[in-house]
Amino acid sequence: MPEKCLIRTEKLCKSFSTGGVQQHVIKNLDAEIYEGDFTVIMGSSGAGKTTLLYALSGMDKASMGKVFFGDRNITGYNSDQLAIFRRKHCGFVFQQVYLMESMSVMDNVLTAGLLAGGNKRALIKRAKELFKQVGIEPGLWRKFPNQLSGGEAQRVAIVRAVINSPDVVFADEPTGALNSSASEAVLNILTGVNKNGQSILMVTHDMRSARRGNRVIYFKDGTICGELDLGPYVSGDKERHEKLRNFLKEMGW
Amino acid sequence: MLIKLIRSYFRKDLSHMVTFVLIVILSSLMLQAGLCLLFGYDSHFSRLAEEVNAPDISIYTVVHDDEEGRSIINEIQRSLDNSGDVDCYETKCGYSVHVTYKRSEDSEDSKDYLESQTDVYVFREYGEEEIDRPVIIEKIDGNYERPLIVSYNFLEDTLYGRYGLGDTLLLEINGTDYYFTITGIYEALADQESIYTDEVTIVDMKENMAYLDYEIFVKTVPGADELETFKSLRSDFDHKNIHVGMSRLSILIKDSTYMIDIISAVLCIFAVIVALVVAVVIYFRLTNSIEQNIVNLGALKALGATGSQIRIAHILEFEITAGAGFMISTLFLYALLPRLEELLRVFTYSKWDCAFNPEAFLITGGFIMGVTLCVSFISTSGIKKIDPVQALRFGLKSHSFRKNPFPVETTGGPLTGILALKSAFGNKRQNVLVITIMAVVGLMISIAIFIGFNVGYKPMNLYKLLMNSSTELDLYFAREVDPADIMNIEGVDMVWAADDITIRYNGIGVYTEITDDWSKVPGDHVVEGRVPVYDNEIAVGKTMAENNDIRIGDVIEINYYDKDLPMVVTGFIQSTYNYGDAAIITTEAAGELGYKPYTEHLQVTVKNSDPELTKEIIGKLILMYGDEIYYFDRNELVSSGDDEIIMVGKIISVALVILAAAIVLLSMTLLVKTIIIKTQRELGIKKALGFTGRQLRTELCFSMMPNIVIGLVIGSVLGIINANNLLSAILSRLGITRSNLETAPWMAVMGILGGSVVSYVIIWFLSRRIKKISAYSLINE
Repeated sequence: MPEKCLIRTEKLCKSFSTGGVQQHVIKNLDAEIYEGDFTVIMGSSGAGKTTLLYALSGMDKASMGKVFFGDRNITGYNSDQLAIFRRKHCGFVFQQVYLMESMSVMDNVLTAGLLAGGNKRALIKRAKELFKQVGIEPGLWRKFPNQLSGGEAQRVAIVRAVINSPDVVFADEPTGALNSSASEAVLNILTGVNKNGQSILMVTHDMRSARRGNRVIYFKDGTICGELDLGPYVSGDKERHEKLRNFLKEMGW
Repeated sequence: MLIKLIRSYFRKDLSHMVTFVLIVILSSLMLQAGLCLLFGYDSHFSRLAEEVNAPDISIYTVVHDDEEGRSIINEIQRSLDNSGDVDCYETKCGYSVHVTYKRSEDSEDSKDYLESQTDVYVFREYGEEEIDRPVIIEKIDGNYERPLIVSYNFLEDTLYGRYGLGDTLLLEINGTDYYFTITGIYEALADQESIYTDEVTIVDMKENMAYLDYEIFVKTVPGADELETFKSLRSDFDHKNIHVGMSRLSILIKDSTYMIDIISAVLCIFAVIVALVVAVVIYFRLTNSIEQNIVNLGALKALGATGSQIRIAHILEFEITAGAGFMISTLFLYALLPRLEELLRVFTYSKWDCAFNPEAFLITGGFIMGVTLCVSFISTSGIKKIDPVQALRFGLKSHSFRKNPFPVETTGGPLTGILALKSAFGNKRQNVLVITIMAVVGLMISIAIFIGFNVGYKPMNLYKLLMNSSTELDLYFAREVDPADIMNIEGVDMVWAADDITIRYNGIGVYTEITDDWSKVPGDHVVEGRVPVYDNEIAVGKTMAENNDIRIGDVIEINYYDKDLPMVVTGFIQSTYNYGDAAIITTEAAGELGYKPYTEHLQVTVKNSDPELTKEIIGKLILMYGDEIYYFDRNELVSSGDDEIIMVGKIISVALVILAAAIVLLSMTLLVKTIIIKTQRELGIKKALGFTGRQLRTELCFSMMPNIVIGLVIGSVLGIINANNLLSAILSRLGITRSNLETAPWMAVMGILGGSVVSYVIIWFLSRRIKKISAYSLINE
């Protein structure tokens, strides 16, 4: 059965103007992200990975070209339409966590769920289940983000991202600011989320994070210069690691 | 280092500083204007008194041009010669002529007291007076038949501001119409009612003369007490049964400056209120700035900058801005002052040069800079305590005992509402500041509504308070009429005969109103005690009582020329006549003093003070009494805008609304900008999660509204409760001790509703910058 396309781009361009100089970060990109995949975008610094992630998620607008989410062309959406689109279909995990400092852990999660139109009672139940799954103890639920460790905060951010069961979770270097054990925990959660059927699109430059994906896209100079099918993630699969290393070596990483 | 820090703060805070400087301009403009008027007019009149060689005591009398008249003048002069306190005096003689002021040649038939007014004008030849010599300040050149040089007082009070320099004035004298041209305007202090003209006109006026008008201007010996000399001369004249009018220099100046004092008081009071907003704004901005820049401050400290250096840079940033605002306001003030002076001339009757006033400048500058210094010093105290390590970790402390108001988990209602509530009650300091500012705004709006209602919508309310009158209509008859006949006219509420005399207490003239039965006269006549009922009873002005330590129940000695009468004080009245040196007595008491009240003057109150009904009554009265009646429709005077006090009240009311709107706009601009900057990271996250710009703007508006409404409720309720007290305090110099203008709960409700709607609209408008915040750019900042 052929994979169903979740996000598709047509001649996607994104450029920035800095001091009167145009910088073309994404160039005429035609790409497809498939439903249920754990897609990893890799590339060197400044390759345009994060720009691509936000262009695909409707967080940022394309300079030219089109982005289709399912059958919908989201390129023409105004900022409010994009916001409504994001709340319904997307979840976000950022490198810097970006929890709302003025809200407790539980409020951060419930806010995202309620925004998407969820039932409060059902959301509270699901949030508690998710917290248990990611190892956030009940004692932390009513704490504020600045009272959590980096790993705890990132796990809360993941719960917030998936609370409304979005079609896709966009993760921008989610382990970038974490130590190795915290990173491993976060990646396990994302893998678990993916196994539950949710798509994940993750930007990373960390090999250990990248091998969690079943598909790796290498991005360079604003375009895809190669991709690798790793197949479903299996813990401790050394061959998978080798395969990824060779691919990246081939890409000039 | 310090200069670099200050420059960097200015660059960062530019938009906030623009808002701050505008509030400073508003506050210092009002304060300096108030002080400038107060000090400026004070020194102006002192200078004018020297320039015209103003008399310490003025004596006025009109006599027939006969032996008896001359003997009265001789007797007055003899008293002056015998007084050890009199240094010198000068006697000026003018010709009192009965004139009928006509707005046009065919206005003879009008019965309106103001339209066709018979009056006595005093004509004099412009000469070389030594004391109170008039100074011509405006004139037109050229030869005019029957030129007139008049005072501002004459133009405003006698001619109701309808004529100016160069205008032709039509007067009927002894059945002949005379055209005069106003060729000059003079200033003097003691005599502002005389008309100076040329020799030819004087000859005509002499022929039409009714009386000789004498003014005797007295200079006291150096060191003599003006008041004591005044009392002593007054007593002497009374015992000789000489009927004269008298005044003192201090009273003459007070007559010209009382309204300036009121306006100055209003300006200074509201300037201080706005300064409170300035202080709140500084505190809010600085404490937020420290919070936002905690990492930078930590870095600066880590690099070796001392707390004092950083603190001084912040203080200087605000001091420099406040100084700039103050200087700009000074420039504005002196650009606006000439126009203001023209408007105020209706009260001062004098042309002020609007010269730079160093006292007002220094006091205002000191006040503004002082408030800024104190508040910025207090607001920056936290900088000293900043620990670099802690600051570099975003100011995080190891323990946090923050509360989570309105948890989403347990709070019902829509998400935007819950988040607004969380935000509204999540920042105590911000709440206190918003409540304080909005309380000030609520106070000003409710007072503006109070004044607006009592001046704009029901101007008779203020007029009656200031004129100590409860009537809509004054009737002047050529013969005695029965008030019962007028009572029968539909719409008439009450009719009574009224008269007034000046009695004396302790040598001071006391304006005294007389009627048969004060209990039947509508209105609150006493502020304490009861109205006089018997022929030995009197109610005196509260101000007069306070100045002379008179209490209710005291027996005081009253004089009316050669008649002395002990009278029991039954109560206190408030009166603007004689600045509170006033009283009320019954007709019988007046009889005991040897005075038979004039009964051809009747006062009429109309049901509901209805202006239309008043006009209908006037029509019926003219049909009833024809040529035997003149009327004075106070409603018409008030609604015509000719009354200066009503005009000032309206201006103050509009100014207060504008001021409140300006404070809301400026303070909200600063608050909203600060809140958006402070929360822009969170706004970015919310946008990333899927909040729309509209949702976030609504959340911001709703989050500010609870505190805005609380502030408005506090301010509006306090405003309405204290509006009459505030007005009484402002008007106390006039003799008002208990203002009783209408107040109603709806005024506070209107203030709250109006303030809330305006605030919501302003916040919604200002929050449009949230729309521009991009989730992506904030996350990538």
